[in-house]
Order: sequence, then structure tokens, then C-alpha cells
Amino acid sequence: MIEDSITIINRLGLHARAAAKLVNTASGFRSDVRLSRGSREANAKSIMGVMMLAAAKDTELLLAVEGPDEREAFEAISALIRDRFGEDE
Amino acid sequence: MTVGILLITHGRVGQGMLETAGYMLDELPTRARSLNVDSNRDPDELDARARELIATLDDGDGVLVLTDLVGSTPGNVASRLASEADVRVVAGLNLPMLIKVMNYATLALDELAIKAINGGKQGILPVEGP
Repeated sequence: MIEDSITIINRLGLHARAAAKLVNTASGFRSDVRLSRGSREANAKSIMGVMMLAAAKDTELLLAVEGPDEREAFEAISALIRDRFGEDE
Repeated sequence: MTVGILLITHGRVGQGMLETAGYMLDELPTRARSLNVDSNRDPDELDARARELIATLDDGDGVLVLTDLVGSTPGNVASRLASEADVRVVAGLNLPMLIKVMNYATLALDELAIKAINGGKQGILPVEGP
């Protein structure tokens, strides 16, 4: 398992469009992917779950990935978040 | 092969929701259309139009019909379709329901109908401050 904290840095936070991209990315991997905010844990392949985290800009989340392609999955998702989901700010 | 989605709603509610979902997801993962219903339209005409849309949307996996309000004209149009073998109807359309359905676009019709109901319910909750 790979687990580390990651901060949401884009202005609009983990809004619907960003959540959809994250779910799309996570769903491309076989590994189990979880995102947590405090005590609240979401399956990162479920758009409703991710949206319910209501993670605004500067929110720190815990990303946990476990499975056969966990390294690639962790990297891809981290990169997406670091890249502000492709948004300008 | 995926289930087709047909929204049957008052005015332009369904159209607005499809446009919003399309914007959020960049593109919709499955065929989806909206039938906008005004109460002054003839029910038989609406029924015929709905069936036309269902034929367009069904590529063999059936069609999930989402309607806004049971007992209203759109709801009644939708309920007439519920006895078809390859159609399932769910009422109480809200944006969380539609987004959940789009998230699970490759599921079979019966399972997708359950996801629609769960998605709709999951989106209803009191909101705490940040």
C-alpha cells in the first residue's frame, strides 16, 4: 500500500469537474484507491463519495492506494492534483 | 454497449441537467436525451415522442428513464413506459442522481436504476459549515 497526504491547490477545490477527472483517473487502475479527509473516507472511484468530501482549496487529504498497479495509480492521481486538474488557477 | 438515458421533466429541467452534467464530465459517457414536457401537450403525443426517443437511445441494453415528479404530467408520461421490458423508470431526478448514473454508465439496466436511486438519496443532506 502507498499512503501519503496531498493538498488540494486549485482555486475551486475538488468541485464536480475536478472530482470527475479524479474518478476517471482512479478508475483506470485496478488498485483500490481511497481518499480521506479527517475521519471521512471515500472510494476515489465513486464520484458521489469524492464530492461528499467537500474538499476546498488548501484542504489536506490522505491518498491511499493498494493493489497491483498502486505505484502508477498513486503517481497519476498525485500528478493530477498537483497539476490543478488542468485548471488555470 | 451501454444503457441509454431519457429524462422526462417539466419545462427545461432535464435539458438543463444534461447540459450541466455534460459540462462537468467533458462529455456524457452514454446516449442521453431529454423530453421537456409542458402540461398543455397531448399525453398520447408525448407518449409517442417518448417511445421514439427510447427507440433512438436503446442499443440493446435498454433505457433508464428519469423523471422529476410522480403524479405530474411528465411523471405520468414516464409511468406509461414502465411496463416495457427494456425500460426502468425512476422519479425524483436531482443532479446527484444524474451524476451517479453517468459515473456508472456501463452497468446493466436493473443495477443502474438502483444506482440512480442511491445517488439521488445520497445527495440529500444538511450542509455543515467549512
